[in-house]
Amino acid sequence: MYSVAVVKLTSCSGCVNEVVYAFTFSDVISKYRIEYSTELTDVEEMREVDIAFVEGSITNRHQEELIKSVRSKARFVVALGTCAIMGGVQSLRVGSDINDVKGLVYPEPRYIEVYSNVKPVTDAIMADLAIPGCPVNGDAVVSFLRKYALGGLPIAIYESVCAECKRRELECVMVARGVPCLGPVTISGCRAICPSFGRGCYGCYGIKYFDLDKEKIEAFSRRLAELGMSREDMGALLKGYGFKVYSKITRDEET
Amino acid sequence: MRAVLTRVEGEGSILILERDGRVERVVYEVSEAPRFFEYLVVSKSIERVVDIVSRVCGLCGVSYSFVAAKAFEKCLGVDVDPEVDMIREALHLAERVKSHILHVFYMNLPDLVQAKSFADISQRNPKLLRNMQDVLLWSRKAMEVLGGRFHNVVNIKVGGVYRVPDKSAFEKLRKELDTVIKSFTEFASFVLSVKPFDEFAWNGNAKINQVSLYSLHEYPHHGDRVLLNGDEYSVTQFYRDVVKVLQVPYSTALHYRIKGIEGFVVGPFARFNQFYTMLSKEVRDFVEVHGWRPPLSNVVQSYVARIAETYEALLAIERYLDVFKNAIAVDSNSSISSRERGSVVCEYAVEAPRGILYHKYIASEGRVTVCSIITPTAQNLAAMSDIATTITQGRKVDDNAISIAKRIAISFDPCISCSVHALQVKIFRI
Repeated sequence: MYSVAVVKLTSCSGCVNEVVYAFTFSDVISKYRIEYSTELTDVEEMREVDIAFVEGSITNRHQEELIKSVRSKARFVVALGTCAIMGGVQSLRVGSDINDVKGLVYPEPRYIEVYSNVKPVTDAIMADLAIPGCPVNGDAVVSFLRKYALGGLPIAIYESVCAECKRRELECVMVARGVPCLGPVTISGCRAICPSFGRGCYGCYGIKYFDLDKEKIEAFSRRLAELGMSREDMGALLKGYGFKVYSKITRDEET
Repeated sequence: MRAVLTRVEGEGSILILERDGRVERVVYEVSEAPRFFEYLVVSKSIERVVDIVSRVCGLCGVSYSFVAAKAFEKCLGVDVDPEVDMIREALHLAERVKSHILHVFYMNLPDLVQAKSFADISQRNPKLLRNMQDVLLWSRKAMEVLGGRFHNVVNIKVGGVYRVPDKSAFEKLRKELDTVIKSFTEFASFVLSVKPFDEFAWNGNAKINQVSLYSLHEYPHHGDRVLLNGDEYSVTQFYRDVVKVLQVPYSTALHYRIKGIEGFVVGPFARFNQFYTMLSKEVRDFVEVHGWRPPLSNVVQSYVARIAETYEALLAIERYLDVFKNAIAVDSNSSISSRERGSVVCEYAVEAPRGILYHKYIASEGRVTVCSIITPTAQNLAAMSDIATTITQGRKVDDNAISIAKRIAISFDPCISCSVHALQVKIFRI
C-alpha cells in the first residue's frame, strides 16, 4: 500500500477535491492510504510518504519553507493544477503595488503578510510530475494513480486543446462561428469542455510551454482581436491562467 | 494553546486563551494565504469575472459564478429565460448535494461514529461507503451535464447558459436518479439514526442569531432579501446598516457582527430552523421518522440540516429534470442586450452550501470597477468563536476542551479558502 499526502498552498481546494473524487474509485482506494491531509484526516504533521500531491502557488515565506520540507519527505511529488504549475488566477495582482492590493481588501493591511510575487510550486522545488488544469481533471489523477501502482514512467502527451476537439469531432467554434478561442495555445487534458458547450476555451489548463514563442502569441493575439476579443481580456486570460509562461514572454519583451 | 484544525477546508487553527488553567476564550485563527479576488477582478469584463470568481472556492464555485451572473443581470436589466435559469438552479443544487455529502461523510461522520477517519468508516461499513459513492458520483455527472465539470463549471454566463444540454443527457440523469435517491436515503437513514454522544450540553439560554435568505415560496436558494431572527431586510440594508465588518490581527479572514457586537449563524442550521416548513413533506417526514424536529438547538446537529437539504435538493433536481425532458426550446446564444449604460451597482445573494454568499459590484461599460464579496464562512467565524467560548469557558484546558472546540468548527463546515477569500490549537495564558 502506498502512502499519500495532500498539501494545499494558496488555492481554492478544487484540485484537492478532484483528488478526493479519484480516491472514491475502489481499485484506487485499495492500493493507497491517505496519510496526511488537513481536509480529510486528523494528522497534524506530515511524515514521510510515497506520494505528495501539492495544490496551490506560493505567496509567503512559510509556504516556501513548507514545500521544501514536503519535497524532502516525499518520494514522488505531483504538482497539481494551474496554481501549482503556472501561478493561478491570483497572479493577476502581480505587477501592482502590494500595499494597494492589500488596502483594497483589508481595512488593516499591515496584518497581512504576503509576497508581492506569486510563485508556482515548480519554481521552488523539482516536481516529479505536473498535472495541469483549473481544476485538474480528476480522471487524470485516477489514471496517474493506476499507472503509479503498475509501475513505469508516465507518458507525456504534447498537444493543444484543438487536438481534443478533433478527437471529439467538435466543430471548431472559431472557424465555424467566429468565437474567440484560446484552444490553439492551451495545454490539453480537459476533453475540450468549453468548445463542447459552444464557447471558446479560456485557457484554464495553462498556456503551452512547448512549441510556442512570442511571435506566435503575437500573431494569435491579432487574430483574436479581429474576432472581437479585447487586448485587456486576452492579457487577463494569459496572465491569469498561464502566468509562468506569460511572464517569461513579457520578460523577453523587456530585454 | 494552539492546535491544527483538521477535517476542514483550508488552513486554520484553534487558539485557546487560558487563565489559571481554565479556558477564557476560544478563537479560530485563519492562516490561509489571501488571494485578493476583490482586486483581481477590477477592470475585467463582467463575462470574465463570472469565470474568475468561481476560483474563490473549489467546493462551491457554482454559487460564486451564479450569484455574480445574477447580480449583473439584475443591474443591467438582462432578461433570462425561466427554463434556462432553471438549468443554473439545478446546477447549483447539484453542487449543494456534492458539498453536503462530502462534508457529512468525510468530515462529520468520523466524530458521530467515533472513528479515526473516513477510511476507518469505509472499512467498517462498506455499504455506507458505496451509498455515499453513488450519490457523490451522480452529483458529479449532473454537474458535468449541466455545467461541464465538477469544479469551476463553464456553463454559466451573464444572460443564462452557454449551451442547453442535450435532451438525452437529461433523460439519462433522470433515469439514474431513482437509484441514487434510494442510495441516499439508506445513507441518510444511517446518519440520522446515530445517537450522538453528548459530551457537552448546550446552554439553552444562549441565543443564536440566525440569518438566511428570505423566500415566500421555496426553501432559501437565492434572492435579495434576508431574514434575521424573523425580521426581514434587503441585502443592501443588512450588509450596510445591520452588519459591521471587523478585521482582527490573528486572521486573514474578515469578521462580521450584528452592529459590531453579536455574532450570527448562516448556513444549513439557520435555513433549516427558519424555513423548515418550506421543505417537502417527504423530507420532513423522513427527518421526523428518525426522531429529529426543528429547531435544532445545538450547532453540532447541523448535519441533520445538511441531510434534509441534500434530500430536498435531490427531489428538486428531479422536478427540474422532468421539465427539461420535455425539451427546452431556447436559443442560449443570445448576446447580452443591456438596457443600462454608464456606472451601475450590481448586487445579489445566493445560499451557498455554507450560507449566504453576497456579491456587490460596481460596473461601468461592461467592466468591474469595484467588487465586494461577503462569504458564508467569514460571517460564521464570530459566532463560531462565541459559541465555542460559551460552551468551554471555565473548563480545564485539556484534550476534551480542544476536542469540543474542534467539533464546533467542523460542524460549521468552514470553508477557509473562501473566507480568505487544518486547524491548529494554541493556548495563551493571560
